[in-house]
Amino acid sequence: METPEFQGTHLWERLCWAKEKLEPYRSEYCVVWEDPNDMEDPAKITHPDPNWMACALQGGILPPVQSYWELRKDENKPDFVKHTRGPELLHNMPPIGPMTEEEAIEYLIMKDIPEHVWKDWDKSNKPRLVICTKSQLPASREWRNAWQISDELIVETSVAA
Amino acid sequence: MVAHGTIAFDTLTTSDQANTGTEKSLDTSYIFNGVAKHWGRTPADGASVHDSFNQSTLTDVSTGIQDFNLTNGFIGANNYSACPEGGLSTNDNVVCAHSSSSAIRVYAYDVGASAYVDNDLNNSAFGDLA
Repeated sequence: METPEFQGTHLWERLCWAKEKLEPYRSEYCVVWEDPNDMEDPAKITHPDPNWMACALQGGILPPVQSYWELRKDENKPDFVKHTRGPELLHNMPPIGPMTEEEAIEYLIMKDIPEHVWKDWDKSNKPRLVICTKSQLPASREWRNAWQISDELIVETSVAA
Repeated sequence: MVAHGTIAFDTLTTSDQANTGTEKSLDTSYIFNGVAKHWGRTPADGASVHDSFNQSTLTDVSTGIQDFNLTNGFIGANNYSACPEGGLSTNDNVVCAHSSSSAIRVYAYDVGASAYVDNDLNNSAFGDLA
């Protein structure tokens, strides 16, 4: 299915189109991460949304991830009240083309996980962030609040670097 | 009948013959303001999304705590209202907090056990989009 020319269309309206036209895509991948600012907290697990994944794979719907960084910068300013650059950054920005599943996961890491976690993900004693399959997560959630990234983790850098 | 296209109007009016017989009008901006701009439903383990709209990821934070991250965030953290729902028993309280314009944290708490618990969670949010 061909994506309509969406530049200038409100992002929310594009999502309405995608919800109606695209089949959700359920990725087997998730992202396990630890926040160095909250070392007492258990590892967090971020899962891609199936409807969002469909948009990413389709292309022509989502803004570049840099748009979200700019919005976050605005929101972090002390005098921030309301977003005023939504039209410029989300709706009028040329949407990005189709992504592979791997590219989509990388986009989501940079969109929804704090920058201080992913920017230097491999600069501490152990990785702060790992992409894995859901089947690699513990089968039971009984000790969920003690989950951590393993100290003995071997990172496949040929894929992750 | 037109299959595709746009109907532009500012006001909806009904004669309300079936009920009161008194004509009623509604500004269409009320309709837009009253539409949920985001919704999502997740299973108790927070490891997947049953279905959703305007959501990019779900983050399993810890037992009973999940973050719904939005694709098209709101205009500001104080310019929307989120409505979480869930729970397995009358002891379960489900509440939410949003600290940014594009992330909604939902908590499920068992009052009887005085602890957070994993629950099926639903969330919807209303307000002005960025």
